Amino acid sequence: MEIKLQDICFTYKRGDVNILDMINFKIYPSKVTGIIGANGSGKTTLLEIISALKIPSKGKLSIDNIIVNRRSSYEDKKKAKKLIGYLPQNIEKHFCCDTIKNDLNYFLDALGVSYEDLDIRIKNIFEILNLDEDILNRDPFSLSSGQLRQVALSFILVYNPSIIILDEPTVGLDLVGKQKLLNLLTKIKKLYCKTIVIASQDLDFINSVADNIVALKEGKVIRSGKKEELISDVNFLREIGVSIPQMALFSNFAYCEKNIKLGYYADINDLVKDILRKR
Amino acid sequence: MTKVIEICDLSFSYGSKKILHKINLNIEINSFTTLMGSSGCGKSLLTFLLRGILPYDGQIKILNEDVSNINYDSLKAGIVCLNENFDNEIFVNTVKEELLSAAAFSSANKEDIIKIVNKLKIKKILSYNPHQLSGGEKQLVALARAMLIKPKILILDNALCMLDGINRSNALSMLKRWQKQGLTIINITNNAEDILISDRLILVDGGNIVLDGNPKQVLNDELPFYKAKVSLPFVVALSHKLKYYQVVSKIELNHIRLVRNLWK
Repeated sequence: MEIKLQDICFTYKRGDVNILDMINFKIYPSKVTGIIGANGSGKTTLLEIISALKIPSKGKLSIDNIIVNRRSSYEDKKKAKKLIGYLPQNIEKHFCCDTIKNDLNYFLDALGVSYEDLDIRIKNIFEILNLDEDILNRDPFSLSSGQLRQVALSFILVYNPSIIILDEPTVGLDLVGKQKLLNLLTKIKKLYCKTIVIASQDLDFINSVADNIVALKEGKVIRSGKKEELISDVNFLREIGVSIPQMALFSNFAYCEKNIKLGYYADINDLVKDILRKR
Repeated sequence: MTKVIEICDLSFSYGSKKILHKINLNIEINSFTTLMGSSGCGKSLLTFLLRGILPYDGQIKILNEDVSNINYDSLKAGIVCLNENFDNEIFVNTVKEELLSAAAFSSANKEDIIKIVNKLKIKKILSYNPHQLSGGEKQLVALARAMLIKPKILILDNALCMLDGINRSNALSMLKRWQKQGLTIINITNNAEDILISDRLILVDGGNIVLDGNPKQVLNDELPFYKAKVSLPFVVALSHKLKYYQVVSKIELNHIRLVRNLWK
């Protein structure tokens, strides 16, 4: 399910500045695309446009050949939205019921879906995410930010869309939560051929999970390509103002201080093996 | 050392689910404490209890006043808590108005405002509506506003989690400077790298404090971190793995020192 962005522009009445300016790129099916950039570079707005939650001021979005722009019909916009599960940044705002179960029902009602096997779906998803089913009866206010984010992700997985879009999904997650999310995204990409788009300041996580990266600066795509090319370019990451993944930072120090060329890695254990080889 | 926060036998449950169990903790003045723990262990809950928002068992004193009897005026601007999400605290039309209202609260002057705006590099967004800012920009504005209030105690509850590399570095260096000028900081975070700039690390697990000490000492043992499902800073995690292979003999807290140690 290919997603294409053509000449996308988006303007708020915010000092008459284009939040997004002539964005052109493709999101490849069954891959994880990471969106990176400094604060205010347009990541969230870009995700909202890809999710068909915002309509571009100019240009067009094409999701599986459904066109989304100012001239699109209501039906086309609705069709596009139904293909997507979107996990927003500010997750607390989206819980409004007295229990998690009621919020899930509200979420599915809003999408116009109902499942006979809902209880089985919930059980399977909660098991994968290591969530206690007791959470279904809890007041959302009583859950932590990390727990709410995992619960919201579970809602999306119960809905099972073809495209999953995540905005800062690791915020509030502990070590186990992040690892589970990483394993889950890897699994659903490979086994279920989902297209996944993630925007995050957590470059270590992006390094672990993404196939391709799109880097934004001041609303423009400044560079895009395979993860390996971008993540290891420490000078470029500094230039656009994002955090450097710790492994890339260490490799950079090894080269600058001691002229030791360490390989590019997403897993610390591979880095350890390389260090042992090069001592 | 003067205690600004004293917590004695603090317990809290949501219904039958126990979250915090007889927590005892003192926070000293001018300290920078990092508080970490797995999701749902009660870190954010602690911030609600410190502000007297929820009922609890035990005793909490802030600046020598019992929180349950606190007179709001006497605590005025004593403690500021920043959350991950600033949206519910925006009431004005521009960032500039937000900062001016905070400055009026504490009688901060024009130089104070200019200093903070320059340090956090938010000059270009002063005329923007706060609701139209990105998540990271909102966190910067929230931090600027908090510092203009001039609190005695600042609690950050994942309040820097959406900042990019440069903004995060600026924010943390500003906080360290303010710590030297008298601010007490509690940083609740999942970002393990924050441990390295703090004076004290507290790990919470299963409703109890399982580790409490100077990072330079406590980071030498990785087991409590794995048990509490908390990450180690990268260079510390790498040091532990290399120590297992007997390639290094001590845990380094710094990339360059580890590189120099590995390739002498």
